Amino acid sequence: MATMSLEPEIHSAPHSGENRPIRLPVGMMGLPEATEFELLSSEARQPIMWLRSLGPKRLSFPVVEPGPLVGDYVLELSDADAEFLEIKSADDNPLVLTVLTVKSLNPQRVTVNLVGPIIINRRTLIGKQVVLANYERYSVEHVLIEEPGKTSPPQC
Amino acid sequence: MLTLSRKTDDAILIGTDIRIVIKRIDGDIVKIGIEAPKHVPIYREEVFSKVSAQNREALKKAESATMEGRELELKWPLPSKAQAKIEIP
Repeated sequence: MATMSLEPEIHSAPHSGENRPIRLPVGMMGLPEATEFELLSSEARQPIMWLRSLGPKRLSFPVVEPGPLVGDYVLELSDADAEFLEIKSADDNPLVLTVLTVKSLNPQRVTVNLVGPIIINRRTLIGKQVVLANYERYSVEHVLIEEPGKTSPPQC
Repeated sequence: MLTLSRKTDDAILIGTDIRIVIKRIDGDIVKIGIEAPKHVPIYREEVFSKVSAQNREALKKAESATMEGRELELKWPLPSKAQAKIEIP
């Protein structure tokens, strides 16, 4: 089993504006219709990116690369997923995205799904939302940011 | 629902390209082997349901946050700096 560190930077993503879409042949889990996506990112909005489907009904998932943000996140891919994604060795350095759920903005409460990351082969731009082989270690709602809630003034 | 009785090492074919084998039976645990084309994703149902529900929730929350006219912008940097690792069998 090969182990590697993901570079803790977010400029390595295939950006929108490139002609080739990112293809997720089986779609996002539970949403199989959309299979072609573009990844939108901007300096100003770092590290949030948007994985947006192409086609009539647009699905826009806010995503982040977990590398620099989530401590001790070890992704184990099943043989079937590694084969599907044509990831043979650590040198293939796939792009890993995790889906953000913004529970609330004020106070800020944001979670990421560590059970089902999206793994994208940078060479083929084919990806898949996988369930990690070691999924039991992780939560679909891993708390990324939690601000203490503002206490409302007592009612008279 | 179709219900079949099978013994250890017996198999079931679904169509012609999906094969399910009963590998081992031990109390209330059954080890199942599955052979399927690689474009057919295979999930544990309860995990699939959780991730699907989270995908929908993420879409809904992002939509309502941006519909309020606010750009989705979070306060950074985050405290955690540790790196993620990926393991490939």
